[in-house]
Amino acid sequence: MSTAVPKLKPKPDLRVVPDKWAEAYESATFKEISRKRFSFVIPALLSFSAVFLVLWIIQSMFPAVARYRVYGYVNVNFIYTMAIFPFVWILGFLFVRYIRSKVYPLERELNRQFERGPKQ
Amino acid sequence: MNHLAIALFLVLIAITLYITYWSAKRVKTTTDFYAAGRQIKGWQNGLAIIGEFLTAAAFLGIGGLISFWGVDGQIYSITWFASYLVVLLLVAEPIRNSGKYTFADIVSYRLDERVIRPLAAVNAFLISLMYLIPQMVAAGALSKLLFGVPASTGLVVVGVLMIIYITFGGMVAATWIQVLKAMILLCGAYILAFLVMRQFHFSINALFAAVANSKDLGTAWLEPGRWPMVKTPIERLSLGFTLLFGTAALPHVLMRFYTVPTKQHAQGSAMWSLTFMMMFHILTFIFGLGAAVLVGNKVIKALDAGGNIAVPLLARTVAGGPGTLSGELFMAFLVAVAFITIIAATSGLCIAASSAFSYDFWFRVIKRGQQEHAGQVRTARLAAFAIGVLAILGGLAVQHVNVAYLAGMAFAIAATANLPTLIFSLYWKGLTTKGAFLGMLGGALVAVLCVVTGPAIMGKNALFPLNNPGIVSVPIGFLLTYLGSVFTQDKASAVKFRELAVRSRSGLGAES
Repeated sequence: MSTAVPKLKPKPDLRVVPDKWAEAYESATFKEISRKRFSFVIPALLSFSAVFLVLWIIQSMFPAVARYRVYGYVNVNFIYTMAIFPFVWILGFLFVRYIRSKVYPLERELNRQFERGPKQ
Repeated sequence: MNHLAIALFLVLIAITLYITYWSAKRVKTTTDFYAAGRQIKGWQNGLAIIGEFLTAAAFLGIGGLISFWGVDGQIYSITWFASYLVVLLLVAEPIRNSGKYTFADIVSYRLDERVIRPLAAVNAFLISLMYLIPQMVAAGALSKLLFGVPASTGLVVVGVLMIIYITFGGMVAATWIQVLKAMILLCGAYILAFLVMRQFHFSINALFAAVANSKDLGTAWLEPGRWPMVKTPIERLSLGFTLLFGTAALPHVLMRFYTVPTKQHAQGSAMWSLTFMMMFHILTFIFGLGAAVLVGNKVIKALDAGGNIAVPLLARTVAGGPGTLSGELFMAFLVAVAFITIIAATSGLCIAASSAFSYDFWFRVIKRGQQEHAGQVRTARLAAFAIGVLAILGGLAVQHVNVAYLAGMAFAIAATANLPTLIFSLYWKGLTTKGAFLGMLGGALVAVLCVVTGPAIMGKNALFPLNNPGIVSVPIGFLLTYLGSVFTQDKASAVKFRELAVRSRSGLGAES
């Protein structure tokens, strides 16, 4: 096994015997799983919020930009709104692909480390 | 038209009743009843999820809204669609990994169950019922409009069918009816969009030109800012915010992720629902603007000031026109689909409300998790039956009052009271039972207060200025939960956080 499982030092004030869940939580594998998940989710949520914020800014503060016609009667507002669909879909697709290739292998490893299942 | 629509509706009802009969034989355990035995595949659950969300409001409402007010109506399409990304990123897998049947399973995991579970159950119950009753009232109003039968008859028919589906078929029937409905709804939508765009030689610009040059419409229909509900920037932001983040805490949506066998399926199904939602919502501007040009929004308004008849009328116009067999047939088909849509949506809400009562409250709190299996299924069926009856009576009692604000209130409570506790439960170690209690109770009160003192109820004298309180109430919900947690201690919650974090993020020890 490549990842070492650091031993949890029981904190006396908690008066809780460290069980397998705590061990799993403190393991390097789990820390890597959390880090990998958040390193996608947080930028994804930020960029997603930014895209909506820009739409809101254009619609409510710069109506002239929203009305600006790009092709015939097709304006910026419509193009931007419709572009949100593929943007969100691609973000979702990338997330699923990322989790499957980068995170699931680590999860399988964690499962192997604690294969008898942590006690309830 | 009436007879044709009723006949088509009856055919669809016969199919759904057969599904219920088939499902009833498969519902033996509580997992069957609440989670369809965890046997639903990703794409099937994806269709079922969009079934929950493509209600009559999405199918008939957005089209009507766009035909009356222009492209502002698209705000519903993009936010409802994108809210599924929030679900996918933050809650789909964690929920499947660490819960059993309901929203309350997650939030009471780390916290003192005796305090949090009843509160979560009451919240889930109220949210589902608040959403359910306006759907029932809408079903009545639509049956009058579409079939020409009295509103109360339509309401009772929808209620009785919902009771039959859920009492006998549980989540298995609810899921398959959603799948069926989502498929025919998508087919109907694509045929309609094809027929509309054919009139404009498949050119969006030609459709827009027709809108801009129509004497009743104009370029304003193609630009934001016409719809009074989002006239001020803050109203627009608040509506979008509530829709985007409220979805991630709706009990009937969360419950869907328990029906799949594994976390991969939960994630896959959220991806499928994202795909199907996109397929539907990219079409709504075609329906709305198409109806405004081809049917005429004055004609629509004369028949129904709510705009719900815009899409069926558009279907008749583009499939041959009034009086032609093809026109009447296609309109009848879409009307029947709209009706099935409502019944399927109410069924999903009914099962969410009944699980909140029978599983969370009765089994976990009153019986303290000690009840034999057959008894649990019996209580679940009885609860579904009682909630169905309650929804019918509630719907009949308020059918002449405008109760559209109830659905908005349900969304506001979900976003304000449930979302902070759900997110903090999964991702913040510092959450305490008292903090969650304060956030859930205080959040629900704040959400209700904002709606009750808002323009939907108090009109021009509103004390609270916004129609959708999300932008104010959701941060208050988060703040209450945070402050309540920071100033109290909960050692058990901090210890159990490690277990929930491992379970929810890695799937270790997940229920199968």
